[in-house]
Amino acid sequence: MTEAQCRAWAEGLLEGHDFPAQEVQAIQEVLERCERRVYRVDGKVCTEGHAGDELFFLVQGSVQVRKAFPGDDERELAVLRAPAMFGHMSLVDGSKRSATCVARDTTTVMVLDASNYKRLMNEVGPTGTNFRRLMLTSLTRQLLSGNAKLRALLGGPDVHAPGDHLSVADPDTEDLDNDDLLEMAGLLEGWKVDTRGLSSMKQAEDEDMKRIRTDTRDR
Amino acid sequence: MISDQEILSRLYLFREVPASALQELCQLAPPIQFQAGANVFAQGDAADTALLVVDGCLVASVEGRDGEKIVGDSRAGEIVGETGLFARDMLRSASVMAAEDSRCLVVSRNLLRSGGDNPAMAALERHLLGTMARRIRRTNQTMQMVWKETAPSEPPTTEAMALPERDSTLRGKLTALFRGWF
Repeated sequence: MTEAQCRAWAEGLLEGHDFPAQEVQAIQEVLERCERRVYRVDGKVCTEGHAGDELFFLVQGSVQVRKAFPGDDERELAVLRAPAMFGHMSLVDGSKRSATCVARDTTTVMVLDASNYKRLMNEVGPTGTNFRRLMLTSLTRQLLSGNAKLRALLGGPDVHAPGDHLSVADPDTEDLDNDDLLEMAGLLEGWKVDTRGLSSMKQAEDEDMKRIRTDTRDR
Repeated sequence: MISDQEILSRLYLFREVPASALQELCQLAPPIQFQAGANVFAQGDAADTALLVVDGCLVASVEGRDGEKIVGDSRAGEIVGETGLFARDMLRSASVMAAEDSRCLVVSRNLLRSGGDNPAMAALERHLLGTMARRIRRTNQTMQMVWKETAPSEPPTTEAMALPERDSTLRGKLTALFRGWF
């Protein structure tokens, strides 16, 4: 990966992220601490249920995310395309892999191992600070998108933009099914958090707040 | 009265942080006091700061269609309102009140910008990551309880069996589990 490619990738990853002290240079330095791996089609990057001691930056290609469904086979949860970060939840809280990731085409990932992750977590200075804030921003998005999906499933307002990945069931006419729960699990794990959906999530928050205020006023 | 620096040093998250870094943190963001009963955040307000509870207790409540509900409390070492720090234009999803006399460190974007080279900030960021990860896990585990219950090969969990019969739909079960969150 050339310096220019690395910079372009880091800019892509940070696009739309909003956190203090966001620096492309620092993210490039994180990549320099990673091991580069190339996977052929169907190459397994990580396996559901296994211990997770690595974080992955997808720099080229795409990855299919599959999850075992109770009483069923594996299902596709999402497709990640570069630039993306995945596999970080296992390092954050020591949990096992929540899904299996398989290369869909020739795919390059930069792998941050647990010891480098720990070093960055404790590092004072721009590289550590930017890395931690990248992680914090990602987890914030996961929480917000998971909460927005939950609100939508439980009968929140249908205010999502065309093409948004959040689907809203009509609370009066149909019950949820396991696919809805699977989608929400994916959002919480960070598999399908997409910056394009964030503006509509914000809109959903605002609409919800308006509804709550109106309900309160009307009582 | 115990100094701000000393009380911060007692928090587990700052256990390895040098006193000089905590002193600097107190200068950058002196902890503020809330008297018991004081309103800290109001639901619907702009959310651009978080609070680290240093001493005392804050209680969060949500005003919804079914009236006001207490949804949780935060004690020394816990953080409230953190999502607004890392996402744009967020609103408070709950109101927060001081349940007793409390002291809190205000974590703002300005503090994050200016305190980047302070080990206390690194400790605070690690603590924030842990807090968010726990919230994600808690939501996912609660939801998976419902999910597993619907699988034909899985027997119902004790918690799911305890749900009222009228909530037998998947949405009803989720609503029962997450009632008060929104």
